[in-house]
Amino acid sequence: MKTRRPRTTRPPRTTRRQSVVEKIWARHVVAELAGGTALVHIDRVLVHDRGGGLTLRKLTDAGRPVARPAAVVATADHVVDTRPGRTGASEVPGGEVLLAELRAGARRHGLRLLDVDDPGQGIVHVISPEQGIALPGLTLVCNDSHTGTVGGIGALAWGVGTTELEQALATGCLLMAPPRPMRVELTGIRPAAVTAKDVALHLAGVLGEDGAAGCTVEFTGPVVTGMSVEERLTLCNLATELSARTAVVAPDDTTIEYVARTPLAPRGELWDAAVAEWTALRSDPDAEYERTATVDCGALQPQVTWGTSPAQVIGVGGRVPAGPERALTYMDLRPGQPLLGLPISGAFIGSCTNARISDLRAAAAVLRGRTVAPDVRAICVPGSGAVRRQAEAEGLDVVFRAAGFSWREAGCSMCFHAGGESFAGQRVVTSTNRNFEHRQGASARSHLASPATVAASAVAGAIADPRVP
Amino acid sequence: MSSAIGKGPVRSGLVAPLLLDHVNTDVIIRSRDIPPRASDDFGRALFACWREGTGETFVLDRPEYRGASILLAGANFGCGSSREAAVWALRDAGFDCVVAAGFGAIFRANCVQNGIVPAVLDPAWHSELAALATAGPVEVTVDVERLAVVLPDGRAAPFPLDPLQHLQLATGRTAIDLIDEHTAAIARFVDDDARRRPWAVPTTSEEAQ
Ligand code: SF4
Repeated sequence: MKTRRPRTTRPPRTTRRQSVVEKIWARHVVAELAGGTALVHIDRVLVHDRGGGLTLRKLTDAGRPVARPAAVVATADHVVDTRPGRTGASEVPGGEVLLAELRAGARRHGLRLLDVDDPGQGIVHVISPEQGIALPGLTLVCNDSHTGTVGGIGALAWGVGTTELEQALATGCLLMAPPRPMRVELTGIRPAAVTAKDVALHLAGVLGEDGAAGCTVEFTGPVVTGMSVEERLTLCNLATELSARTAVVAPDDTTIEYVARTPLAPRGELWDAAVAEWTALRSDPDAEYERTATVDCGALQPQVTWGTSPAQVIGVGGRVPAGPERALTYMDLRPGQPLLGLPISGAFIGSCTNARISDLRAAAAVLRGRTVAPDVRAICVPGSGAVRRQAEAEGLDVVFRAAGFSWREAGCSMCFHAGGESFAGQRVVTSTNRNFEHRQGASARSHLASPATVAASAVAGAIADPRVP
Repeated sequence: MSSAIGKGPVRSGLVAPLLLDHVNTDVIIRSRDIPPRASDDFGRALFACWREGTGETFVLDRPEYRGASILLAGANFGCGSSREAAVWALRDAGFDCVVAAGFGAIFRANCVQNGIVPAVLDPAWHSELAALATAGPVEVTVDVERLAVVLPDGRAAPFPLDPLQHLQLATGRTAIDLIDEHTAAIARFVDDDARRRPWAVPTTSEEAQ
């Protein structure tokens, strides 16, 4: 890995070549304020149930309308039940209030709400690219830290707190410091069994949990251009765990083919105009970046985390390194211990990281004709209703069920523990993005991995290598 | 919506040192402890997962740090989830400044939106303050106008703030008030933009079908 520190002098703005991030940014600046801060136009606002209703309530109480209701989509994903036959209720303490506020707020402000009975419902970062709510070149915010996921289709998307969400809803704009572009180039030939999740976890390990602190990461290089859009979404999703402000992959033909199939994509002349603009959204060859890093993916193995941060990660065949005592104690591991063969009692496939159709296909390929080990509680939660229906059309639900997985309705589910269902006290291999202490339940020990690794581990009843048949 | 935020530009108080790096917002407040209404008391849940059953061993529970209003944190404090509840928990527990070696970006923005000063010290000043605060209770002044943390001996450790955040913390003006000064420019932008990028105008599902 090579890292370049910031340069002190920059050529004047007019002659500078721009990165894709700066090009999208420049298109959205309404006014430049003191010290480089800009008033930035926000094309789409996504709102979810955990805090979204509260924000809409604040607007109502202040007598303030939503500036552009057509630009806003609300979804019930974080606190909804995901068990089959759900009713739209919540088991999470206070969850009923959160959902009631979201529903009332969406109604009052005239917002499109994707509730549990809507075919478009799902995890906010899964549905926004899938439905064509997010498009290349757009700016987008959501009250969630993984909003940068949709950078995978070339949108500039930021996670914000609820106060900034309120500002974006009320004004259609945000006050922001200009992005600090960082280029992360992924080189080499990625081995076939190494997924985007493995690449992203490896990156977290190499760069560290503040390896992209405050920066907007542009992923480039042959590994990225060779990825499908779904893989790029996974990659950008994990940039949050490097403390990146957001991440993006410049749109290319792969992106345009993907977007063309989404329900809300522009049509006819509008489509042609959009494609013309998206085609120009490339970084200039000599664009400047505040930082750059190059990571070779040629010799990668499937990755599994051993600690309580996504950056505490090793190849599946590796041994636990000497790491922070706190993390080792929490995970009940010793340095030098192999991860392979470590018994587990939970397996989870879901989340905005890895619950798209390609993820489910990869897991099902491992599970076909096999069964989950007797003491393992295995759960698969599709990222959206559309993903679930597609999986069922392909018969993947049958594969998951036959293997002993619980097959769910779409939502965030046990990616995080809000007080409803959890993996309390269990060791879990999980396709999610955070292995923080207690994230998936009180004292839950989470090992992040790809869907294929989760499936292989569920079958083995222990952490397993998905490459071994 | 124009109520002022924060406590004014100069804040003095006791420093509680929590010198760990990468403390994420899940740890600051667990998801399941977040109360459903904005008017609730979030302070009770602050660091609950580290405090439960630990008696007076956790720094915020130790008698000598009781009443602290300035948290001294390590690197990348507040990384992880965007939950603003993490900031509300600190606010409701009586903190109006967090001094750190670095912050998660969303947490830092959330601090400013709620009138809490997020001050990043360079490594030398940070370790000096860390040594002082761990040796025993110490009071410092966080001066937003001078952009400095003033130590007991009067020396000033500088910290950066971008101009807009500086303005907000010094004046207590909300971002929404500041944006509202540009209503005409926003309307013009939206009009022009609909002509420049007609494809970017949101489509509803009915129109798409
Ligand atoms: S799936 Fe997990 S990480 Fe993604 S938005 Fe939901 S809770 Fe957050």
